[in-house]
Amino acid sequence: MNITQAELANLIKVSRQTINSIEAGKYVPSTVLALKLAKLFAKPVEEIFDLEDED
Amino acid sequence: MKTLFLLPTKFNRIGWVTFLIFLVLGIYTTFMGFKIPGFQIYHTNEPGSADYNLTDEFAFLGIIIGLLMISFARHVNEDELISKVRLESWQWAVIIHYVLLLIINFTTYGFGFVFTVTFNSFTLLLVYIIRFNYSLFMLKRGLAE
Repeated sequence: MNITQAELANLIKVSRQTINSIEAGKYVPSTVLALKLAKLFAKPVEEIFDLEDED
Repeated sequence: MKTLFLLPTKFNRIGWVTFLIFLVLGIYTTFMGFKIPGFQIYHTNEPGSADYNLTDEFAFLGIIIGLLMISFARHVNEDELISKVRLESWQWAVIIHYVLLLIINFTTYGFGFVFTVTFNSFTLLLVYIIRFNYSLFMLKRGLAE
């Protein structure tokens, strides 16, 4: 599914900085946001996010 | 997501205007020895005792209210990342405020102490505003690459 960060941000109603920070691994989204992303991409949450070794 | 206790976005502008106006008033009052000829807000006490000049008190009030309005104004895009940035900014502000306060505690005495502690109360809000906007600026810069 090919959309830009800005379009994705608009679809889930967050800022582009948020999407960028999530992709860069600098920000861990809330559960609600993670579920919204999963629903948008029609994939389970675990395929989009996984636990780091430190967690 | 619960929205925090925030004012509408236009208060950012109103806050800056208020802050700057009263900052100028405050600096001017201090320079003129707390008495500006022709412009003083008086609160008279019992007859026979000295008049109370409240100009500097109002300048202080205006500065604080202006800074508060800037601090608590809603951003255009309030989402969870901004909430996290706000929290971190407040933490920085509180810590720096207290570090400065403790330094002031040992380096000034008497009237000088009161004077500097008064100005230190601005530090809390100023550090918050600076740190918050700096974090937002760094995030925006990260986007541009």
